[in-house]
Amino acid sequence: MRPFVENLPFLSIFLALLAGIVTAAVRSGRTAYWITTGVCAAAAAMHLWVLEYTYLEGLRFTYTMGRFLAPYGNALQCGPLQALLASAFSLVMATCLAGGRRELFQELKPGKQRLYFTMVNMLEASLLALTYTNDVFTGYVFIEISTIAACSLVMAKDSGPNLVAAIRYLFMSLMGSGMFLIGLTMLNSVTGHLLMPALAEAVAELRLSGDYRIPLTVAVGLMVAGLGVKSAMFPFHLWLPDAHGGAATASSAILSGLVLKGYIVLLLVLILRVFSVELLAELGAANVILAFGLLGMLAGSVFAIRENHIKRMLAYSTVAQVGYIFMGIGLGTTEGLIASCFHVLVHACCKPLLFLCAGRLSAVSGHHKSLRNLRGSAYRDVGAGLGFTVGALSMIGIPLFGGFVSKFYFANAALPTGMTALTLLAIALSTVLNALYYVPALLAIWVRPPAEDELAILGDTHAEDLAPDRFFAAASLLLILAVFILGIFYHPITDVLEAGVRLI
Amino acid sequence: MHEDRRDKNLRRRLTSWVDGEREPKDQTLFVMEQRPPRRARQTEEEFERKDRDRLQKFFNWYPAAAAVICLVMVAVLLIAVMNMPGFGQADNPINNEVSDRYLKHGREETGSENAVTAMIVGYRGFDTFGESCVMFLAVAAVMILLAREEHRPADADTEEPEEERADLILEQAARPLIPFMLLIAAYMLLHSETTPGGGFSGGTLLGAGLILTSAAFGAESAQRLLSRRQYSAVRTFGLLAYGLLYGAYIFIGANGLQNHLTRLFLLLDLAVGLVVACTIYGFYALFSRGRI
Repeated sequence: MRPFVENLPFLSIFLALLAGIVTAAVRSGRTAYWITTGVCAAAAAMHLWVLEYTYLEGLRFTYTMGRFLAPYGNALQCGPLQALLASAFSLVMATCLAGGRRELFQELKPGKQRLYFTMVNMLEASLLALTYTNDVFTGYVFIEISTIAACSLVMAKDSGPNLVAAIRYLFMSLMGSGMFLIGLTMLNSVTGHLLMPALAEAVAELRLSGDYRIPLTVAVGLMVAGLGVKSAMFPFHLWLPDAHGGAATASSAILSGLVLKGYIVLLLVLILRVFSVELLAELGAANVILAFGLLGMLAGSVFAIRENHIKRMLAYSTVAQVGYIFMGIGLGTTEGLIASCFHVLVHACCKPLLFLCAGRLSAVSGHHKSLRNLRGSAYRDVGAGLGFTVGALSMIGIPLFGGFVSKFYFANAALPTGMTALTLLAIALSTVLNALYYVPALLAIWVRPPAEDELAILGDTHAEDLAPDRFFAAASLLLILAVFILGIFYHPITDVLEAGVRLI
Repeated sequence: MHEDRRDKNLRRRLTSWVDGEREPKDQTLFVMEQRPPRRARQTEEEFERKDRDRLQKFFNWYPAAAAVICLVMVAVLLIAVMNMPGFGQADNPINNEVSDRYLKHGREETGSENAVTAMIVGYRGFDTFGESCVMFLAVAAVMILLAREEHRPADADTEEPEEERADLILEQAARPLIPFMLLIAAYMLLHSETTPGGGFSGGTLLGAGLILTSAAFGAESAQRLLSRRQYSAVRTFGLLAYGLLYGAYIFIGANGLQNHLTRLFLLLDLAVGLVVACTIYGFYALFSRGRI
């Protein structure tokens, strides 16, 4: 009989799946909303408990799904890294739902609300499963769930542009899944395993013996590229701005802050647990990832500078931030991977904050989205203005905010590698580019426009949108706190990450 | 000369901006065009025009780029496949202790007669539950996309005449066929433990029976067989029962408790069957008439 706390990862995944099934059958959208938020909050609490257990005891455990031991049946693997990421994801999921609550109920047709929350629950389950899985095929199954649910979030808001964006997203995403699946079957046929520990042994053997070199290379390439397409790695990012920029506020926050991270975490775990950093460097995959990451950091920001639609600007900024994460992976060192993990956390808090605040600012400006029409909007909802400011400063990388610490760690990780100059230069350049679009956006929301413009905007605004939104205020306060905690008290968190990577 | 003047001008503007003498909007908001606030109607048209332009540009380079990418992918995959272990040889890496165990001990460890069922419901049952959730989600996604609002008489009016038309040949052929289909489906579901993937194939047949009913005798009679409420209840109940039973199975197995759930696989397969049947019937109904 194992300690009860070891059941929690499995229980939280099943809870989210069952909540998804139940919310499809409940009558009212409000009930579905409360079930979903409750499940996410409960999952966050459960994973915090798991985190305490694994970190303080300094252990990891494998949870067999059923009575069948490691190489035969499905299993979950849990250490401090997984528990930390899972609790952060669940918490942010609940926060996104709270922050975008008002707009969700305004924009979704009543008949579709419950199905929307089904999708959110399934996304939560797939995020947790992708984080915890110790079986590559389970990873694939939950990638599928995540794909369908994410596309449904985009198309839940009924409009032409959204449907087009959802179709593009679906095609690109399915191509990514397909590549991952082909890579997975190739890997399975040269190793004979699907569970990660057994797979790792077989891959290490193949690496030493040099057998099946070409299929192994192609398999690794396809799996990395498949996950890269799905997490908007730079040259495959074209689906992202339409999908994330057009969706409802809560959807954008969830898609940008969390869904991409599920795939990235799976990739990180695959690299750490199965392929090993050395194999990736040997096959040359690390350099390709690094190049795509660096290009993404710069290109994403350049595209964002050209945007004047605030949500599309944030979406392009996501491309740049994902580029940072891939740069950390591509450095090919454990420090780089830890920096990437930290940035996953920072971005998972920062981007939802920015999207929620942008949604609120646009709600108090008559649902206009162009920066020009948002001028002075921060005074109409000061909380949203402050939240946006905190998020933007963190994205630029100002000290005391979370983004600074991750840039610092990236720079540190780049020092012992052969790519120091290139990486540091790219970080510096990308910081300047980030400032080039976030500072004008900040000035736009904080500088009052001429009186007649403001009156025109106010004329478009509904009174109910101007009323203060308590749920939003709580959500944004929580995320602001998270950004500051990541920026100031980051040592405990990086300690957990280091322990987690060691125990992966 | 000209350069110099611009430079000075820029510096003057910058200093005055830093000193706070000047409204920063025109200089700092350089990313924004000065545009009138958007009207809902304009955006729609604007979007269509923009989209057409984008499509035009897209089709200019799409065929060539697609051909190149496809050829490269084909070449890479062919080279990889040529270097992979040959099909069906005894010393392939996949013929290892894992498949050996599935074949030799599958029966005693899972209690299932069939090795395929032992694997998909027993050893790798979590994946199968995930796949069932994928099916459930797929129908939910189509509902989000296609489901019409419940109280809209306009849609119902345009739809009715089409559905009244019955096809004599289809009807006469379906009349003797449907009972047998449902019978065989029930047989397959009840024997799903001992057949490979029994729940899935039985469920498909059950769904096909419903689709044939709906196609031959019209939506009315299919709805009499399985109304909207019943459909939703069966679908939810099937997956929920599967989830709860399988969750209990995992919990017992992982904690090493005494297993009192005998014949569990039969129940699991029945639940899978219900989910599959509802999925394919749901797709048919939603795509053909926009509602269950």
